[in-house]
Amino acid sequence: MNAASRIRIAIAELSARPPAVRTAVFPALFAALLVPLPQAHAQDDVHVYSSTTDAVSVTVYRDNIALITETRSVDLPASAMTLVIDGVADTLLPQSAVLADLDRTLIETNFDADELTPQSLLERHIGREVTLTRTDPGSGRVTRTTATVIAAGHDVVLALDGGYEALHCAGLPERLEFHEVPEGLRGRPQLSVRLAPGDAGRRTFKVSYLAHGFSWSADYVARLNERSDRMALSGWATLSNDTGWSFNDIDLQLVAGALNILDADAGGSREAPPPRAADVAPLRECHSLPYDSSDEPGVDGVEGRMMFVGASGIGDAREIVVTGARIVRREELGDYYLYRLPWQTDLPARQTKQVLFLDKPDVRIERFYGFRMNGLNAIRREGVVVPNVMIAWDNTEDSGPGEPLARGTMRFFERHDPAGAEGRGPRNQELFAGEAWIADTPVGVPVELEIGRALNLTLEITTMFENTAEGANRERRSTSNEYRIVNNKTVAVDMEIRHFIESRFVDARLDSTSHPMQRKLGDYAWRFPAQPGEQELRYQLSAVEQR
Amino acid sequence: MRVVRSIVAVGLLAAPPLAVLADTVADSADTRLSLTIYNTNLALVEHVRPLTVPAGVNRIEFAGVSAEIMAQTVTLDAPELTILEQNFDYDLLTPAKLMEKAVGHEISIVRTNPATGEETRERAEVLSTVGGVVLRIGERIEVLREDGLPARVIFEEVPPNLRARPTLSVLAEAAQTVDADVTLAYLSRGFGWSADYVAVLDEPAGVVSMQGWITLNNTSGTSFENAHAQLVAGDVNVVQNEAQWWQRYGNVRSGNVRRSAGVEASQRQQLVDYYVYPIDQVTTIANNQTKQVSFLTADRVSADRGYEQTFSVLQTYPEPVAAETRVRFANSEAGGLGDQLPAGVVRVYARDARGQPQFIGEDRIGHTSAGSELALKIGDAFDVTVHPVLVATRGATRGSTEFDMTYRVRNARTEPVTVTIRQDNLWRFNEMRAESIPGRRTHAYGYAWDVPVPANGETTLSFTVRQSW
Repeated sequence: MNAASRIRIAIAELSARPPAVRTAVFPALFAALLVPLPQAHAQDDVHVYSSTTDAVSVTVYRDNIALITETRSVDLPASAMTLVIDGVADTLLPQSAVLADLDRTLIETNFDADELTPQSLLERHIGREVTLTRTDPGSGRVTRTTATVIAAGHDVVLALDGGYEALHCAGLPERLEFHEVPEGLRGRPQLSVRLAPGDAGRRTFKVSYLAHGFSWSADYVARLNERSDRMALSGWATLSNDTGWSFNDIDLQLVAGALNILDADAGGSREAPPPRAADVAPLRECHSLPYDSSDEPGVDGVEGRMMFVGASGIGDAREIVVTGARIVRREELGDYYLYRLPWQTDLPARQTKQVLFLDKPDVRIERFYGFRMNGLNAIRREGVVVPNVMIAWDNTEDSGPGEPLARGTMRFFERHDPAGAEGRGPRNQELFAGEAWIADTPVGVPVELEIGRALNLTLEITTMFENTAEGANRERRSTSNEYRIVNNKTVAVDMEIRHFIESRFVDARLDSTSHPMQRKLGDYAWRFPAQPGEQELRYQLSAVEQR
Repeated sequence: MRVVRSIVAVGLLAAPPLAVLADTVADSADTRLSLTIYNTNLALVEHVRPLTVPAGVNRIEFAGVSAEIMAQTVTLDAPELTILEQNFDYDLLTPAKLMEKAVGHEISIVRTNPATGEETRERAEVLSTVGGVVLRIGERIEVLREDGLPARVIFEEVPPNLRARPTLSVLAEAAQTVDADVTLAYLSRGFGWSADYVAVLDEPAGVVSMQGWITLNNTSGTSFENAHAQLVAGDVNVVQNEAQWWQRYGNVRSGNVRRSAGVEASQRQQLVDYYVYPIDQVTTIANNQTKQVSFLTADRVSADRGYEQTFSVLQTYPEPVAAETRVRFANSEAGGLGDQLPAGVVRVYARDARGQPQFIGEDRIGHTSAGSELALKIGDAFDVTVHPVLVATRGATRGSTEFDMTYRVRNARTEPVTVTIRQDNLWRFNEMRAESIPGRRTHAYGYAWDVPVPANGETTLSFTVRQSW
């Protein structure tokens, strides 16, 4: 660690301030000379605009967030200056903006979000003159009057012709004309940096920032073979750009993993929840009369804002693009996976795009029917139950996909030949067999998914409880279970029955069983083939309730 | 009635009405503007402004103060002036308010004939504005615009208390003509700052490069030009409601980033128990602006990445749980940092295969003194999982139970990792009977094991603990 790499305050390093600026620090002494306080303006004299990008890289995360890295080139003068970076995504998170390779000392970065809206236009005109134009509905005669804006909270009060009037309360078509856009108001937020003096010349720099309105999810399609012992698994990344901002010729990446992203009110990067409707659209009133918006065209902020919501709202017809079957490449990124599109792509506003990130045509699976009995509690459980359809595989190189599986929805399809030999109905039709949510699953972790409920397979369960004294102050609770398995299918199926014991019971033991038992994740489990027809499983479990 | 009248009489005797000699609007530019911004939605604003008022009682209106001013905190320091009253008028001027205040007064109504465009003007007295405007026009009583036809209302005046913006005015008495700089100071909402850090992790080199930014924002409704700004780090006590208190208390309890508190002194300017970061240059803080100023750069801070997961109870999970990834470093002189870090969010980046930094997660640090060790939780490791299984429970003796617990730790990464498993709810009267890997007690009710896991492999941590009641 050399001294230069230690902490410094960047702004404190700017000791080479010109003398004129330095004196301005003591304005009381120079107040008469320094009207109106020129020191900040002196630094802002030179504005350099960067409005185009050389290259853009977008990395989309799963939490409605993306990292956008833009490479830009700009010619810098040697003087102190302000670099205005135009055309950044307007959902930019200002505190995440980072500039690199500018080779100049940054004095400060500003993100100006004082947006030009009908409302801000009015508010900035309080005390200033505007032109009020009225159109007579009968004759079409237009009257133009100079007026002064007196108030512009939710409703506008004007001073004109020696009196005071409210705008849009008369029932006449009225509109205001402004003579200029007040300083500081702009159509979209602007990122600018103030730079210290340095070498003049061309720089290629990078600006990166997090922005909201981007997300992706994984969707899997699993096609089971007829015997349900193999599947073809493909994974699609569905990514969406919900912003009004279009990107062309970008490098696109997706990151799979669960990042720690904090809420906005903790200073984090998560998007703040939208303001309550009551805060956004205050009710307009005219002299205690409800405002009838059908009378006049809207000039105030309320309607302007509604238009804005409409333009960016969800529910527009969105374009959905599915790319071909070229697979995106997977890389490691720290403890996550990064999927990189090997080609440059476009990501227009409000587009949903699908790309293939996984394609494993032959995965060995197990299909079985499962039922889990809940505990040794006093609730009797008996009657007919339908077991669940389970699909399981080892996510290993030899037998399974052997690929990290990003969390998402997995949809299973199977080939169905209902008519069989009789030849009725469509042959070999593909049917939707069910879907399940899969968590982020690394290689080596077995997968077991419940995709639906069995058909033509039922369990009839009879359960008995008994408590017996065991020494002093101990009581052993035992449960005898009989399962009558009725398989009305034409083939044998794999059956798995599990019994869970609550942790308040101790000294559990299996007293008797008709089939061999294996422990599975702390449960007592029986796995056996159920032939067509009927068969029974019987066992007795017991444990002592802790007191 | 008699009582009321006598009070009025006494009042009149005691206090004759003030004769306000002059209304002055103090809107000249500040000769000096200072902002001290706290990170609790609060700022102390100090305007030094030239003021010229004649001798006598003056109403002075201060323009350009924060729209989020806390009126009860205003102080005016003016040598020759005696303050009689401070008023903060926030009765906003709206068409509805104008009409309400016009009850009992006359207004003008201009009706436009929709067919011909002909205008007729009439005087009207406003009788009521409840649920509609009731007017007396000559001998007629009418409801305004009941017919839906265009009718303009013209008010002759705006009541003085109605303002376009909340306005601060001071009633002051000057013994003689005053021509001096006065200081107006107040607290205002609508300001905030936070520290934001960018940490780029260079894993092969075992270092992280840190940049710290002060992010300052102004939503006060007013732009402040050429301000001397300083930022105060440290929690200033602000009276809050009970819900916020609980939230704060909860944060203190759950914040688990700092692993050891530091004792290294720092060179920062201290203000009582707070740290002050002055911004050296005069700066303009516009309304709705977010401003960032760099305050810390450290290129090579020793850092590493670690895995851990905390379990509160002894129980079986149906599925494996991802281990948390933590980036660990110390802000010590020796580690390459050695400065106290104001509370803020650290955004962590790692370089991808092409060398481009990619965001890999963020965590919040509290106000951290120099020399502390930090472990930032940046996310869940995709390839490192822990699967807890409670294998068996035994009633060992009366009043105690033995638990056989296993944590199966899998690592699908191509390098070996060490995962710290933390088990809470193991109080000191719990006895560790057997453990496959030696553990350590971390606090009064916690235990931890460092479980080494080979590349593409797994390790099962098993232990037996006896809990007594």
